[in-house]
Amino acid sequence: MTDNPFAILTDEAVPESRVDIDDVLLAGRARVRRRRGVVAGVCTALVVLVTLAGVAAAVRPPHGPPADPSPAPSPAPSVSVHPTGCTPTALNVGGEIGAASTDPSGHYLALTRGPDPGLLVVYRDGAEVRRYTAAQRIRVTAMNASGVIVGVEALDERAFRITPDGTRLLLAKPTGAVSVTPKGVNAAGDIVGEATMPGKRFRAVLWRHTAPDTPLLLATPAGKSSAAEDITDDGRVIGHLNQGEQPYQWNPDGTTATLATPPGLPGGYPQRIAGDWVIGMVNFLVLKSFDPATGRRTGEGPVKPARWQLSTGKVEFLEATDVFAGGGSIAADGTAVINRFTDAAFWNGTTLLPLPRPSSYDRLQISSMTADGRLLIGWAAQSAGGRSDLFRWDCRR
Amino acid sequence: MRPDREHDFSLYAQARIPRLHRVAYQLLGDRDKADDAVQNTLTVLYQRWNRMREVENLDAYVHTMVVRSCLSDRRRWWARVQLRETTPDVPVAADDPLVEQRMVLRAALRRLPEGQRTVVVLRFLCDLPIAEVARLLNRSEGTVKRQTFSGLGSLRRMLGESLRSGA
Repeated sequence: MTDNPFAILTDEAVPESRVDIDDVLLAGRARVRRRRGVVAGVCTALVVLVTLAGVAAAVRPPHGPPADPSPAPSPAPSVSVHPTGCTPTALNVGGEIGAASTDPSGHYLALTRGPDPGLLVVYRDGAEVRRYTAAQRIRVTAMNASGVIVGVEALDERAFRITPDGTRLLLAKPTGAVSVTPKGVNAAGDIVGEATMPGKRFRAVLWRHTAPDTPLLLATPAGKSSAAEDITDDGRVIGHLNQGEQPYQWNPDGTTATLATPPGLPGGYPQRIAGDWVIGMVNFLVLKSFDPATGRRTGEGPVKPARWQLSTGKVEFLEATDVFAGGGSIAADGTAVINRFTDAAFWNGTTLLPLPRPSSYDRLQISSMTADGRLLIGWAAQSAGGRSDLFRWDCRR
Repeated sequence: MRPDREHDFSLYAQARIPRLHRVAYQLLGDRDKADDAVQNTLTVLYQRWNRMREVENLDAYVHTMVVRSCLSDRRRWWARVQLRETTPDVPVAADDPLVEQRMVLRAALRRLPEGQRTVVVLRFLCDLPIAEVARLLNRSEGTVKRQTFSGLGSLRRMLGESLRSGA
């Protein structure tokens, strides 16, 4: 007999939960949209009151600000060639996986454990080379072909970088920053990310590999927040202003540019860049996507996966609702992979090609893809029984 | 929600669903209601996720959320509507020697007054300390102790000496 008189109940097998994380995400998004609708309604009411008082008429300029230039419509969608013959192979990493990703070359693999999220294990060419532990959960955000790994511990509280020799160091914060989050790293080891400043404002940050202890705040238009998401080997940085209100690009020569968004789909959130191509999301509704004069939303519907080609300024989007926000990877030739709720698919700007599911698994998700698009890392799961395993997909090009 | 945060949320929530469901099931004794409580909890958590980095112990916070969701579900009038006299049996292995004991214990628990049953379940099935139960139920620790004592006493009377006090 144990000390707990109800031990026979606590040890009892309970029926398996039928709660699906996809349903949770859809319900969560709907709840957020409803809340924003309420906020918009309040804003509208305030605007009406102000207008009635005659104040709005007195302060409103005779003409509104010039409209943002519309993106040039792409003459024809670009069509990359889908990879063929992708073969899934289970990766035996001994234990339950939390998250896993690879670098652009495919040599390194970093993974965390589900039961022990404070453990980070690094493999090179299939052999374990390093192991790190933290008091709380570790999340790897990016890695490069030299084995530089960046990430955060415990929900962004402590940002770190792991150098090629395996040393883990805390990332320096810009003056005045509350915390920092690294998001991307290039081949040289330059790191980009965001700094949270007092007042919940964000600034895009660059840590040059030559001076990692001296983070640089990237140029940001006055009055706006900014965040950097990724950096190319030649130093181009992609990110966004005001948390997705405007997709943005910082160039090595100090110039900046806005990335186009499709007509009627305001807001954009670039996430990854490879060569000339960027993958991310558009129709990225944030509170500021409401027109303050009317209180009406300037966009409708959920976020949509998007692909930008920087040299042409072209943007393409995928009309789909069953996609994870932010679940995309891209290769240097523009081949994109989109995570849908139950599987992942290549997207060439026009058509989708689902990745093959490993036998006996009914769900899969891709976490990363190499720059040449030949290797993908992700997991496959069985809905019945909840088993989830790490896989690699080797594709022919 | 920002994509990286949603990804973060998705990883976190997916790993916790079985444990949260277990807590909800112990409290509600019904698979569907337990699923509803977990779904509601995670939906609210999604909305608050950007603020969660300020929470020191996220698992404890979410645990509290699901318990509160269960308790609020039990307070709704329609939660008392049952089309059957008892909740459907849970399928068990045929050779499980504890089946009968479990059924007897669950039946006895159902016969406890609402307040005592809630306290006993939170204390012994959800393994929460007295202070935490008091905080969750908005009662004093003395009340929780008293209801625990009364609940265990009633169970002992119903079940005889097969139930040893663990209070």
